[in-house]
Amino acid sequence: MKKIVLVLVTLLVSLWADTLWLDETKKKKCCEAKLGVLPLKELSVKSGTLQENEKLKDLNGSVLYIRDMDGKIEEHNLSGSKITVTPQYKGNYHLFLKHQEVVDGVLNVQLSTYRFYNKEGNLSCSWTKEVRGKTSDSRYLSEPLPQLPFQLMMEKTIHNHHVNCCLYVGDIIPLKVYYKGELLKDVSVDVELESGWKNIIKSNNEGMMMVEIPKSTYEQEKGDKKRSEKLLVSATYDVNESGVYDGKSYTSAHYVMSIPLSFGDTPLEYESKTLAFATVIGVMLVFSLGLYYNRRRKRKTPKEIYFDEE
Amino acid sequence: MHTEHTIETSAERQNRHKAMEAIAVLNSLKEDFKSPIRSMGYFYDLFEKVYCHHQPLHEGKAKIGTMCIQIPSEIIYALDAVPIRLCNGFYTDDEIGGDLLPQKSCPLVKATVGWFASDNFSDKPDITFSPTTCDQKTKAGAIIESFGHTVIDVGFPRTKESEESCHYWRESVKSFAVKLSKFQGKKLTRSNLESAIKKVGYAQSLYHKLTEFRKNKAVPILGVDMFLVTNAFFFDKIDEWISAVEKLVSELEQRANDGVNVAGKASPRIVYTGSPPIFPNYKIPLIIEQSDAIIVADETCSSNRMFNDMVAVDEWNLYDMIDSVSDKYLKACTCPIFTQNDDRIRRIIQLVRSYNGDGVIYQAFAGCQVYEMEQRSVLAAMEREGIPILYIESDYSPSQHGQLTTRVEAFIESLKNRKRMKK
Amino acid sequence: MTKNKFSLRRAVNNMNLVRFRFWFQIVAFALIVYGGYIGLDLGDKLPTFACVFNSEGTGGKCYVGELQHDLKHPLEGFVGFAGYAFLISLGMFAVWFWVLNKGWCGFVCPLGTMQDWLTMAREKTKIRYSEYSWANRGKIKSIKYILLILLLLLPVMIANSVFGLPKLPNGLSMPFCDICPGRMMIPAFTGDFNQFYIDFSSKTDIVMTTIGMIMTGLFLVGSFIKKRFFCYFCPMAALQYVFSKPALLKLYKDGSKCTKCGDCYRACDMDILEIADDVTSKNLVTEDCTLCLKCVAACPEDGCLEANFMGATIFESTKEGFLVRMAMDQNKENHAH
Repeated sequence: MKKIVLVLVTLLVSLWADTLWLDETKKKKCCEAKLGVLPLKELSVKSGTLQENEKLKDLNGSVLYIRDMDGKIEEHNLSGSKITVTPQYKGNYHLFLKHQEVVDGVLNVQLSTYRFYNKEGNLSCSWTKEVRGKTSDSRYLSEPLPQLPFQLMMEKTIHNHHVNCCLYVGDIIPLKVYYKGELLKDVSVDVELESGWKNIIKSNNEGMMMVEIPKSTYEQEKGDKKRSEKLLVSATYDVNESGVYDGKSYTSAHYVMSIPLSFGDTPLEYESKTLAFATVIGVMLVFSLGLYYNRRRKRKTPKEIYFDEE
Repeated sequence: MHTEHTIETSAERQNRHKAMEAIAVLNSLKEDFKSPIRSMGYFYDLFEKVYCHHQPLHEGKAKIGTMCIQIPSEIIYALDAVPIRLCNGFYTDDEIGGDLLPQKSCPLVKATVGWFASDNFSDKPDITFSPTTCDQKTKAGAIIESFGHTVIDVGFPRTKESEESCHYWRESVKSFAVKLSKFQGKKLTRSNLESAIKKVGYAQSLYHKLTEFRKNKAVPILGVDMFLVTNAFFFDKIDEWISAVEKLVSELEQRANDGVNVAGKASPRIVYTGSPPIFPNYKIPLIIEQSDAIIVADETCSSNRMFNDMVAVDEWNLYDMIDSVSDKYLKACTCPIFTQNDDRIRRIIQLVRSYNGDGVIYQAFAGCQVYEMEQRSVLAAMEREGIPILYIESDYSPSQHGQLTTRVEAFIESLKNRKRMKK
Repeated sequence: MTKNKFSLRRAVNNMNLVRFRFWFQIVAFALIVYGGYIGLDLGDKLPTFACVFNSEGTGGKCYVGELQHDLKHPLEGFVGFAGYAFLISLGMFAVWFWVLNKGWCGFVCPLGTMQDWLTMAREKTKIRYSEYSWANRGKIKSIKYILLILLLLLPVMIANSVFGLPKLPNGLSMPFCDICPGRMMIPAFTGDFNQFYIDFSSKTDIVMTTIGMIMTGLFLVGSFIKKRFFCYFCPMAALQYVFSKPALLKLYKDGSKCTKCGDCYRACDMDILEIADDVTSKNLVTEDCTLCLKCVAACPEDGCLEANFMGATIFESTKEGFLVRMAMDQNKENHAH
């Protein structure tokens, strides 16, 4: 009975919580940018679920933090409905959106993060970086951002196939939740797929949540190597704290943070490991036997090899 | 008093003649030159023991005759036998062999054949391996076999650049090793070949140490003494040779520190090349050094060519050691029997440069076709390099002494003039 | 007295190169294959097989992988940032390469080190090594250049229509990585066997990944039986050779001191005939040379072969060093009786 109530409450809470997430407006085709023109990223902020959402028209009062691969953080106050980012360097950028307001004495903090890889760069300021080459994997953050009071953080994905770069069905995403720099132990995360599938994953004793990207059972989606689907993970946290924000006082705070991701169909569908190992071992056997018999033949040097009347 | 009169047998007469030849050279070495070396005594005594008193050195050991330097002594030592190199320098044996071979044959080959014909050895080889190097040696093997000796031919290629000759020679060496190991009833193993390679390598390193002293301005050892030392390696017990040379090295070190010079201050420094001076045929080297010149280096198969190049093994397993040994005896060899011989010319030039030589004396045995034929190309190369060279043809007979002396002295005189002019 | 003065130089020239190289290679292997775990990152322009597929462990990244990746872009893009970045990358690759020249192959390359380990294993089992015949040795020299041209051309042809030909399928985007045994073997050393797979998603993928598996099998047996089996076909070696002339580390030979004894050729893992037979050239870093310096260690002539860094001799052949290395410098009494 208790459990059901708990589940209902959390469901209600998650429905009530207005999850914000960053969404990249249709990606520009590669190399449209002309010489000397910096690459430009355009993003919008969406509110709601992946299936039902609306674009926020006014971003006034929201803050955007841009973290480059060196860990340098820029802060931008947003306005209008569009977010434009002009990255200077080639590499990974992490964006963090913070939107907070006080409603009915409750501080409502909505957060979202988004990562993108910038292919082009500004040569005049990034040539030294090009000389050095890519820095070690900056795709994942190792520490929570100090600017965010609450943070859902994604760690390096665990996968059991051969591709490192992207997320695929079957991959496991480890997640952690931080509140004011402290790791929260007893938390849960909501997972939502574009296709409608939803789940709640609870943390283990160490505060780690393991989200396994579910396999699609829809027949029509199988075998499409290029299929890409969105995934949204979000965590919420309510805490009793009081203070004043924007001239309004509050007695409790409600935090929600989301990470929108996209993934593809599993490469495991197309690969065979057994056959690969069999090929390697087969080649080794054939090659070694060939060598062995070739050597034996040479050692014996029967005349027929050198003289053949026919 | 009763004196017994016995008639000298032919073997005894042969031995007496050989002893006379030997002692004459040994006495000359001991007495004709200033500042004698104490530790050379071992070698003088050794040659006296073997060639004047006919004392056997290797009783109880299998003695393996080799007709040329190309038979790997490493393998012989590994199989617990003693290599005896059968290149002979005695005029007495040359005369005996002369009756069995064509008139214009090489005296060295004639002497070797004569030695076998008389069958008069202090250390008789139990079996002889004959690499098919020059025509005369190749054919001599068959003649020796006809005297009732066991002679086994070991096929040797006459080009060294090609892959085929490399493989051919490796196979030859392998089959040599198989035959010898059958003969000895002993297996060639990784450990016995490894220690034999290292022992011979050590002996070679001692030779290299000796030659280092000859680079000095004051040369502490005579060329003829060096020839005697390397010559002793033909038949001596290797361990005794090693300890005698170790002593010689330390004495030379002392002499070098003291600045002892066996030659004069202005004595021209000679690089000797061509047919090998083999005891007691030190005719030309003796004439050179008695004419106030000093042999500082040589390019002959009785000395430098035997010791200069070393076996390098990459993987110390039997398969690689045998190949390394074979390659050393083929690739590094500067024998004139090869079709091309730029290597020999380059070696001579390198010796002149590093030993500060003033001139080259090129001796060819009358009848040694390959050395005679190569003479032109060597002379031309030396002319290109601006190195004075004297070409001499000689044999084992004592008759030409006067004429040879005149030619050598004139050459040395011209070298001295050249040296003075340079100053 | 004079001996004391040159004692360091003597010690270097007398060193046991095999042992030095063994440990150097282990350290280099650890840095390249596991360096990532301790935060080492030498960039992605390394002239050696620091495999990108070893995503966590690698201490740097292989330039051949980067090169293929860079070339898989429409040519128009090279007018802008991508073009400059490409030139900077290529230049940086050359700069890295110039430091060690081909020494990257002989001392650093993890794939080369693996082959040397397999050779050691074979030596222990006393199985004889194989050699190519000289004729075949000459013929296979060109294979690495063919591979290099293919790995440069195929990515370009995926992104562009060259000479009006249709674009190639995307499965060939990293054609050499597909068939490089390093992709399988290097991550395997960090416990990641995920690269052993055959991809059935397209025909090109099936072919390329199958060739990759075959190459891995050939690599394992081949380098067991033939020293540095893979290096004969390595397109990295071909790419490096293009830049080899101005490199700082050199292998010099003084032909006048050479007796053509062939000891260096015997020691050479790459069966380079020139090392013994060429007495006129000074610079002996040939296209297949891995600058392992085994030839210098095997040369018994004083100063005939030398490793030279910016005009300074750092390791040269000496009689003494040769004797020490061959254990011929003293009389051992344990000979056969």
